[in-house]
Amino acid sequence: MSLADWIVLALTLLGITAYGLWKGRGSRDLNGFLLADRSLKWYTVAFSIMATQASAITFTSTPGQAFVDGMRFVQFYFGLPIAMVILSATAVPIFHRLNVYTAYEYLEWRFDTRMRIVGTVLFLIARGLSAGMTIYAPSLVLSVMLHLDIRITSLIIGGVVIIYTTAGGVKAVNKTDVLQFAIIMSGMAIAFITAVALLPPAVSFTDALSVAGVLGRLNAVDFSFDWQNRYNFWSGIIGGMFVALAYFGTDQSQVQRYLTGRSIAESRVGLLFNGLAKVPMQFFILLIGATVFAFYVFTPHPLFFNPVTEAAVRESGAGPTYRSLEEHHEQVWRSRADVANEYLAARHANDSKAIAEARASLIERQAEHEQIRARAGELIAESDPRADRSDTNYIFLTFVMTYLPAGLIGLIIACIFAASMSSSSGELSALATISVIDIYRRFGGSVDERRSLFISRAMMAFWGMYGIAFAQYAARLGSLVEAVNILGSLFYGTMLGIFLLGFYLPRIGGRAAFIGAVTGEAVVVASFAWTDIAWLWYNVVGCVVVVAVAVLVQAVTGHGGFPGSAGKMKVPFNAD
Amino acid sequence: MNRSSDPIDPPPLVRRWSHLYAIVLGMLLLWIILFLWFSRAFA
Repeated sequence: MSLADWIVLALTLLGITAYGLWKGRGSRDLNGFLLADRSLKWYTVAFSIMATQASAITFTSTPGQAFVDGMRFVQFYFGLPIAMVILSATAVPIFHRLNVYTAYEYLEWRFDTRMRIVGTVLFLIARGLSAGMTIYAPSLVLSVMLHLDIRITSLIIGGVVIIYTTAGGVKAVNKTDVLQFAIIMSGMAIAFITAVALLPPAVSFTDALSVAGVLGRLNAVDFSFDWQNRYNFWSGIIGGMFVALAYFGTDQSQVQRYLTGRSIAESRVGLLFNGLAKVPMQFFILLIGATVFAFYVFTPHPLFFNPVTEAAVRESGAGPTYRSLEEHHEQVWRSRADVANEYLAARHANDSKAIAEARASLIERQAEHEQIRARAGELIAESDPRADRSDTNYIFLTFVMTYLPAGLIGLIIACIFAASMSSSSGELSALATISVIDIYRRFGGSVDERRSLFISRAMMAFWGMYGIAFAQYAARLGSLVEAVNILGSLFYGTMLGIFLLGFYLPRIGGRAAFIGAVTGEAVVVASFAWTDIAWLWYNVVGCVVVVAVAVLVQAVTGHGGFPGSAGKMKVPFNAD
Repeated sequence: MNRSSDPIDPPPLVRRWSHLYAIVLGMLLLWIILFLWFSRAFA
């Protein structure tokens, strides 16, 4: 990076910190610190929701995903707008009217204390584990690309977040999310324009799309059904809807975002805006990846995009084999570029026979190209079993670092920092809120406002430091990190099932819900261990089992339904 | 009740919440059709 890039990066990070401190000033009680006095307008709610969901890895790996696998990942978001409508109609008014700080307070009001503990524990395991990953994953990518120690990158991300979250609480988090989201989208738009502008003079944007399309990179909709296929229309609209329902309806890091809305209407419109904007936004990010793919059809690129891993394999015993593979890769790339030019010439001449021939030849070259890249991945794994054989996270950033002009590289790197901070701050504020409201104050801690406020600040700092510490030591955990990440994603279905029982089945009591939750979780873990179904379906399976078992148990035992809950809370249900 | 001060009133552009829900779902349908056309047009 040039001096101009470092200046842009430093100014952006300073700007984010100062903006967070400025916008978060004046939070003097718990309601102000943890819920921004429920005073925020819909656009702050909307952009905060979107910035929290879109992690740094979304912006590094999604374009890479389009490069490697095409645009079919967009289908994962098809269920999201449906979930936003369902949650706007049901969860938002319930949470607002109850005046809750956390989603799990609702579980005690609706069922009993035990169910609140279940919700709290599941959240702490899932989100606690992922809070470390949210800092670790981008820190690793940035450390590789910037040639910095991972301890420095994780300290920058975690440190800045700790400063503005402990000082300004959730108001600072949500307001900063808006700024961070603006930085991210500007950076992405600039990257897209640059990728189009850098295409060879003879290749128009439509030509680039045509080449990407022939090579299977624009496969945005696929109606074929397969349990093991992660991204098709059906897994997206059904599985994606369940994931979105669970994430936005039961995960405190999202619920807290829309609890800050000044009314039910503001929170609803915030969520619905997310439903409107998310699908085209993801399409746009994937389109950047498809454009970068087309760019690299005509421009040489490294065989493997992670420079550190590539340097390591060159130095290893597999070095000579890898170098010969690189030479082969260059020949195949050159031949693919020639055929792509022939294909475009045939297309411009409208010669259907030549188009068909060039097309078939282009697909053949691509298959050969993919085989070489797969062989490179195997070679990397053979030379170092701990090395990550996927380079998806590095494709877009390699393009940025190699081809963007000075200043813009700094802006894109600032985007990645901003994206990791927006996700991380949402998680830290949620973890701190749960620690204070569902644990400290619920189980005997002081209810004094000033003391609770102090504990809330301390918990934000604690969870931030935990995230940094996780990132610093995660590199030594090796494949355990992956296991940690998977473990965190196995609880959503169960959590969603519990909340659906609460919202829609008033006859179900706490005991039936508890038995349903335990059974549902057991089935999800069993599905993970012994079946090959794609992970998106775990949420559907978990949720369906929780609801079915709870209904069955309730029918057999026949007592304990709502409103006979033993919760201790006084509920101002008509708070509006 | 004065409905204009009701915090559950939908935004001024739509009369009922169900209209806004229909817009969100209609846009989803539109995006899917557009993506389908896009994948086929350049395949």
